[in-house]
Amino acid sequence: MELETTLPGFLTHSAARPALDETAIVTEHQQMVYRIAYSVLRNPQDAADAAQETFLRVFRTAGRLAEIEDRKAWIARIAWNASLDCKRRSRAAAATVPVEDLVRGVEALRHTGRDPEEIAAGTELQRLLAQLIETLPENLRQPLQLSTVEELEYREIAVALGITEAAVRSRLFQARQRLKEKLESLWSKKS
Amino acid sequence: MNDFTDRLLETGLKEYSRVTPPDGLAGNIAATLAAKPPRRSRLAWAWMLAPAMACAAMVMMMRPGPLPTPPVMTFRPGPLPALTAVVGAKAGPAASNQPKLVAEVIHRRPRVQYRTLTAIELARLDFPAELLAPREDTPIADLTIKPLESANPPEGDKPNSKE
Repeated sequence: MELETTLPGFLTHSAARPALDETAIVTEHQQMVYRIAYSVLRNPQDAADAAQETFLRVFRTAGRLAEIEDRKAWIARIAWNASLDCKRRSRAAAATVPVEDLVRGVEALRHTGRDPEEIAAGTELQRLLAQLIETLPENLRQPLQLSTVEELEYREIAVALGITEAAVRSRLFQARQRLKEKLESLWSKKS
Repeated sequence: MNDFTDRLLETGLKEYSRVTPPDGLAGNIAATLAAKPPRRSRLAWAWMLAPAMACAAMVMMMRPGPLPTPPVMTFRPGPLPALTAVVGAKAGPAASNQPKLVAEVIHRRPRVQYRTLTAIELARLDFPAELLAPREDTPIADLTIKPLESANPPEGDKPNSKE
């Protein structure tokens, strides 16, 4: 009996290990990983760096990848942690536009008769939402950020955050309520 | 306003992370992964040492203790029968004239037997030996009381008085 066939895989040369289809895994999950990173970092370049770091961590423990049943949730959790690490490492604060200016821009669009759906896709509202979300407490902000990634279900958000699915639903409801209250207070101040 | 805010918020959150990865991101990631050497697990050394440590532990556990001494078998012949000349007597069974062999098992290690100390032995433990050594009783001389010698003995005491 050859020694290589009896020892664990990571003790032998990499060529002897069963090769994982790394390209296929990257292609399948890169969009989800990138969107998770963007929901946190709000910067395309930083999100791309975080996505790369995510896949490096994923394949660092390649031996466990074959044993994991819910690979997607596992990769989402790694992407979430990698994005938070990138955010902590980032010293330069993102340039923020004053909230009042953003509200003024949204109001201007509203007065032109545009639908909320059209306004929501615009840059002003996205920046406004990003700043308002940053003001939320962490336990409400994190589930809300992950819920904006359409590839993730509530169960996978729960796995990424290490909480129950019921807690995810509850915190999402509270986060949306608070955002709504903040927006309405801004409209009322403006008016 | 509420309806407007609700629709605005719901659509805004849907569009919040609806972004497309830049072109070539997958290729860059694959190239980075290919360039990085495979990283061995930090537990590789532990995996190598674990069998050696397990064998050492087994050897320590299986190390024999003091071996029990086997009994020594000795054969000690029994008393020899008196030799008498018998003429014409029929020889008895051969086994009756043969010395009987008695097998005794002698243990090399003396058996330790415990018993309770007697009172004298207990006393000897507490008192020094010289006090407990038997001594010969010194003879006591007879006591003699000499009568007092005086010129005028008392009258009452005179013997042979007139009364």
